[in-house]
Amino acid sequence: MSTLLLIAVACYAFGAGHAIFTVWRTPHPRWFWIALWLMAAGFAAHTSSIVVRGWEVARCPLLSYQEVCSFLGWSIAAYFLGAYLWYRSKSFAAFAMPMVFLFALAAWLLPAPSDTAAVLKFYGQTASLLTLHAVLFVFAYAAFAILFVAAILYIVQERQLKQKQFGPLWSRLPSLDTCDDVSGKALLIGFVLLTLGILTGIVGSRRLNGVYWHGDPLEFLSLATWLIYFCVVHYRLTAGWRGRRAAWLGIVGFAMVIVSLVGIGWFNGFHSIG
Amino acid sequence: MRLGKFTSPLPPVSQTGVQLMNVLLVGINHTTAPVGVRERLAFSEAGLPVALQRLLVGGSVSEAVIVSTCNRVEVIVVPSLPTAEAVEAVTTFLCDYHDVPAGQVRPYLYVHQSSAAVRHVLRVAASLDSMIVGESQILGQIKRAYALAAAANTVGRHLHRLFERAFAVAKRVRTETGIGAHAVSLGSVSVELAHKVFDHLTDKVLLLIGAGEMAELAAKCFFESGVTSLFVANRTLAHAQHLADCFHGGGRALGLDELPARLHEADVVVASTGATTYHITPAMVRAALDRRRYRPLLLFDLSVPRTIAPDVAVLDNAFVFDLDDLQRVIAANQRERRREAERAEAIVEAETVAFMTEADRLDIGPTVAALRERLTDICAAEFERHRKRLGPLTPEQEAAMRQFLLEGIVNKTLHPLILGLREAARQGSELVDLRRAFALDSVALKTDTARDNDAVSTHEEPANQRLYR
Repeated sequence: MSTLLLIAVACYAFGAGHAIFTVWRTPHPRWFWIALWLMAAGFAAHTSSIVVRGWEVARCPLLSYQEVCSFLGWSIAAYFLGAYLWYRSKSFAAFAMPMVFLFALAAWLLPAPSDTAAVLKFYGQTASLLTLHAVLFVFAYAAFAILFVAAILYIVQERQLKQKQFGPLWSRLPSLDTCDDVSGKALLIGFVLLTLGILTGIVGSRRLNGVYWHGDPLEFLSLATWLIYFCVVHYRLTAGWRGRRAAWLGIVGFAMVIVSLVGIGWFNGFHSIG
Repeated sequence: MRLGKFTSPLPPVSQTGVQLMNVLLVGINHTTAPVGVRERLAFSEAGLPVALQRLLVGGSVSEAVIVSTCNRVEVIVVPSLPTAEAVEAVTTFLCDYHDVPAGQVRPYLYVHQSSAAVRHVLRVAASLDSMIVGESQILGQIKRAYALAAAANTVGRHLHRLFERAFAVAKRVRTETGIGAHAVSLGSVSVELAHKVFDHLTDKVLLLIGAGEMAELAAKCFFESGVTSLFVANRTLAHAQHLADCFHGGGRALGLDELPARLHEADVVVASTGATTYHITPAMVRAALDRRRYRPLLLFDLSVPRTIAPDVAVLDNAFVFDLDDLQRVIAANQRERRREAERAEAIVEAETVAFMTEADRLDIGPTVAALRERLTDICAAEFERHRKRLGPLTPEQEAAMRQFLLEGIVNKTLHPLILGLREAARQGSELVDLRRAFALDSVALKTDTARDNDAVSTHEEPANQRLYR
């Protein structure tokens, strides 16, 4: 499994490097397809590594910190490849690919999970529901990662348009429309998944030990994350909020996501995993 | 055996020398001639076939293409006379055809020959010689000129090769450099900026404020980029209606007083009025943005004094560019284009050299081969003749003699000949000039002339003797 993951990391690294290099060289790189195929190859290897791991432990490989990182990187890659097929924005790739690489790298560097059988036993009957809870969260986080990239691109582009200072990124950025469209869809997907993730968490927790709320730091963080994205969705739908303010909230929201991710491994509590 | 071999064919030799790839270009362009001269020399497309035929009838040129645009008139020919006479013939043709005194034209004409002419054609096709460097129209115009000449049957293999290469080079320059990527007119810069905000413009609504020429030019650019809906707001409704009608009937005329009520429907606003007060105020834009749920609104102000209040720019999702901003973008893009143009020049230079080398090879190749064969024959014959004087030789010695001595003599003799031929090809001069390369009447050239006279056997002996004894 770790060999497959290493192949994936290598493909992502070269793909991201190539994408950045070619996009930096010219706004319309001719050799961009190399980056894309490397990305696809990395994704294939990554998928296999996750499947193999799941096969080995006979469960969804999402019970350790290492597995979460790997799964998250894989989800972002999947989302990104889909988004690329839809929007064909090369510069977007140059920003999204490194993120995929970082998560895959983290997964490869982190120690292999210790025996998780005890954890699984502890979950007992609710194991599958809680796995779904974790999967939903990871997918939501992947969508927010894409939203984050789109938000950054939007802010850079908007700033250049407003100040009429056209930096080196200028000719490489997708249009505001595209950024807004990407973030709008990512927001919707992420928010729905996050909401479902929280709900399954609550239900699972209730079944497990009859408690809705453990006072765990992760629960507070997730609630805060949910509230931030709720604000964006709300204002987008009611006041037609879009553009800069929505983009900034998207960035703040993703900061919460990162804190939550770190929190899974850091804070001692109900959610902490090895 | 010797006589039989000597009749080995050389390429067709004209009266004046070998037929070499030689291109001559006579023309004027926007840098050498004022528009008053250019317009008098311009060819109409309908008149071109006749003009081309007439140019060839004189017999001074064997192939011709005429490129005539508003910025240039260029006659590209393959001359069949010495250069000076051919230039004279083309100049006379230009003046006679347009009925202009030669004295009025001559000072503005430029003449390029051989590799300079090739380079010029490649540069023009790649839009490096254009008034607006990198504009894309010129390639189409040259393709058209070439097609017309081909249809009029005035294009032969030389110009065919040249123009095919020119089209390929133009394409290469366009894909490998960013020479055409940076907009350098008000309209195209506006469109470029619009593309930074909107992904595609097909479903966007353009609002023109003012119905002047500026507005029309901008509208044209936006329509070329896919915009299909248009509002024209003007003080005089009739003018607005007139301009709106120009665009596929997709336009609607508005009075200026309707602006506040309709502004929110527009995605792109182009203002160019002579008004002295602001027609677009922050309050109007704020209301419009609210009504369009903060979808971005792009405003271009091409008028001085300004039509759009500068304060509009502080509103979120409203992007305002005035004339100065656009000019700054244009200046930056022009710098960018110049940088790309340098890269393009390098490509053109390399392609010119490649083209000329290939032309040399194509043109002098058969001559060189035939000369080599003949020299080999001479050497072999002389060796046979004097073989006895060398006395008995071992087979190795004999083989070495043939291989090294004879081949060495042929190669050493041929070398300056090839250089001379190549030089002659480049300068478009005649083969006879090659005598200079040898500093004496060489065997090859003697026999060359001899073959023409069909008197191979009588000339051969003394020439050989003079060289070898």
